[in-house]
Amino acid sequence: MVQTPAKGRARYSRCVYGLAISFLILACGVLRPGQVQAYPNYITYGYKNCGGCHYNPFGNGPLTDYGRVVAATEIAEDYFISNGTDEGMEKLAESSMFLGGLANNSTPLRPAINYRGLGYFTEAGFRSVLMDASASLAAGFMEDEKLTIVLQLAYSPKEGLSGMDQFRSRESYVGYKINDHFGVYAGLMDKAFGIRVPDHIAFSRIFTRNAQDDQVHGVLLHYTSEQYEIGIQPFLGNMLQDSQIRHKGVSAIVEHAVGERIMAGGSGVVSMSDVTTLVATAGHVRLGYGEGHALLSELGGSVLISDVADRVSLYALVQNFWKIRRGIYGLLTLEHGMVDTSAESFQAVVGPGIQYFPMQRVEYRLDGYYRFNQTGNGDWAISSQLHFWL
Amino acid sequence: MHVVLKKSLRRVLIVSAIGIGLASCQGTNSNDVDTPAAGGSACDGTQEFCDALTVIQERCVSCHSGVHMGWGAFTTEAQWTSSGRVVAGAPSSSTLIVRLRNHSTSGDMPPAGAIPDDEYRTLIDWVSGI
Repeated sequence: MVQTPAKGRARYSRCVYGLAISFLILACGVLRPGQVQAYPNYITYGYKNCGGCHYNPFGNGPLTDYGRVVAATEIAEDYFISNGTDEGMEKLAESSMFLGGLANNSTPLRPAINYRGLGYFTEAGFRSVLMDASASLAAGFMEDEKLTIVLQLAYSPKEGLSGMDQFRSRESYVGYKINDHFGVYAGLMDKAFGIRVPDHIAFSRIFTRNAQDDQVHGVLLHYTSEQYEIGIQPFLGNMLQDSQIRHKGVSAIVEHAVGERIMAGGSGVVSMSDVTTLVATAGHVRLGYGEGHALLSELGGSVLISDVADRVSLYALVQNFWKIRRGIYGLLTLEHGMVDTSAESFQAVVGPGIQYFPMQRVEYRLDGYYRFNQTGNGDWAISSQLHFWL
Repeated sequence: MHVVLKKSLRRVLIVSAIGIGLASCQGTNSNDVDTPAAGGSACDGTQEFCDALTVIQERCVSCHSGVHMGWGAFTTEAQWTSSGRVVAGAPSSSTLIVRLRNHSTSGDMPPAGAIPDDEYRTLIDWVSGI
């Protein structure tokens, strides 16, 4: 039987949404609750929540001391230090501290640097763009780092801009953990919504306005327990933005542990400016399986209301990680997005990638994206990221 | 010792608070597309300009927002010419136009492939008539 391109594309759409829906149902209805903290895929190591390894309770940004140990002893390659012995592992954990532990007791400061670039092919050949080179400084104070401060400054060069206009911050906040369950964070942060995948051009981030520069000034109220993780974040938008288009509102996320290595969650955001109102909602599942593998799935949509017209967008995301061996992870991203459901158009992405931790303190990630639309036209793009922490 | 720690903690907090204020620079993000031209009210300008703005909004602004420069904020001809991307009356000197066709049938923008010829023509007509 001959498969026409149109049938093939329709089949791809059904497949992405089908997978996303089936994982949501699987997590919500079939699997029983169990005992139940980086990247969302580290659920495969039993880390259901992000807050153990990152200063930000919903992930992204600098690592805590605990996160450094996890990266050194479980995630990254280790050719020289541990030799596979218990004693060696302890030495490895100690070596993961700031400057190898030399300055750990004398300063609460934890600096890190990051790089993100985009490469793509044109008729003239390969082009590359520096997206972001940033430095962050995190500091934890009081017992168990109850009080934390995170500052980040990124160099994001743009055509036509010079001097300080080329710098921006994506995370600058103060956090206080009231006890083991409750925390309050105030400042500039990402909104609490959905799976915080590092692919800032994913439909799940664009349609819901949670992309690379969409951080907001607000207060995040955070709750975590064995079974639940909840975040509620009233926000005023980015206070440096023109007040007419600055979105003010509230976002919320609830995650429930429905299995040993399964988290299912739902999120919502309602925000408005003088020009538009955005309502977005999503359901997601993070699932760990096998020896170091993970599957992420999110299904969501948004409604953008303006004086002229309303627009409904839908998206599905399925991302699979598999551990090739310690330090090297393969990944495959499938995405489908309809920016306006009233139009007969869509965009889809098939994205293979690789994540490599050649040694502790270093992460390299290479993502390929084949993007195509309803006409069948498509193109490849590549993004790469390099992260160091000291 | 305790007093010293308290003092240093206070110092770090003050410096950090100032740092947070300073570091939270730049207010461009996804909301930039919410300009009146994109969804609030009718375009204010000539028909050629409004047609061209529609092409730009549909083809360029989804990427040229936030970190890639908030093109959604350019809603008047004057803003486009003062941005340096458009030279009045000279499409061949306007980077907005040139980069769409600087390689035979396409250009290095948009990355996903050339815009249709009629839309390309719309942009040229606008810039030529400024």
